[in-house]
Amino acid sequence: MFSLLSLSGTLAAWKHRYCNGQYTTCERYRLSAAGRSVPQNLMPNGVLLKKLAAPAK
Amino acid sequence: MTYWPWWLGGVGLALAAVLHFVLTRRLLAVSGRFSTLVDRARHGEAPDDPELSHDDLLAALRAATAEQFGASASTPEPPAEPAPEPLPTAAPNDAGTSLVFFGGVALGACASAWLAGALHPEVGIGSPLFASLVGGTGRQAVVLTLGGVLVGFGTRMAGGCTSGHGLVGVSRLQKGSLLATLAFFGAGVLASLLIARFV
Repeated sequence: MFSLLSLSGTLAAWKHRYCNGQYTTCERYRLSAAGRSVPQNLMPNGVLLKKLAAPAK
Repeated sequence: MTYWPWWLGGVGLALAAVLHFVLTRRLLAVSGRFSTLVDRARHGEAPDDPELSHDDLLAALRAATAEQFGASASTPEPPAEPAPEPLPTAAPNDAGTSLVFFGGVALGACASAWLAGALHPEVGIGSPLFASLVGGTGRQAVVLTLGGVLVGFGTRMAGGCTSGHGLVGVSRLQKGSLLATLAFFGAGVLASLLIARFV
């Protein structure tokens, strides 16, 4: 998520809940602590970010 | 064998750290590179989505944030000026680059020993004191292997090794790196003093 850190407004809520709060529930933390590779698009709640569907015209 | 001047080692290490960053845009972290290779061997490639561009990732991030915390939390603060690219501090994740890096380390060590006329592969560290403390080559191999395992355990626990903490972290005045370097250099000095005192 390093490339997204400039979006502090968006990431602040995630940081507050997971990084500075219940970090043991963070899926990125769990994978890292288990020595697993952490996908860039994995969110702390375990959701893998996917490309959004284009809006219907 | 003639040793190179001690200060040349410092200059060489500094040049290596700077050159590593210039060439890879990553901070030098030898144990991080090694653990990355081990992780890749154990678990395969990280399942990044190759179809997800940076803009797609931002859009998906905003959507996921809105879903998790509500729409008000997903509005990014417009930066007054383009934000500088954050300095990468994570372990490098390019396995190919890591293989080239470790090949270079091995070749460099062999070239250095060859230039010094000391390229004689052997088990042990060529120290009479170490041999007198540990014993024959078999015991030396066991002790060195156990030492390597302990070093690996310690570097994973400390989040870095002598390169990541001692070279890069200390030069950036990172508190954790200063503490880690103090710990492993202090332990080394203490062990040397004890050996010199009692052996």
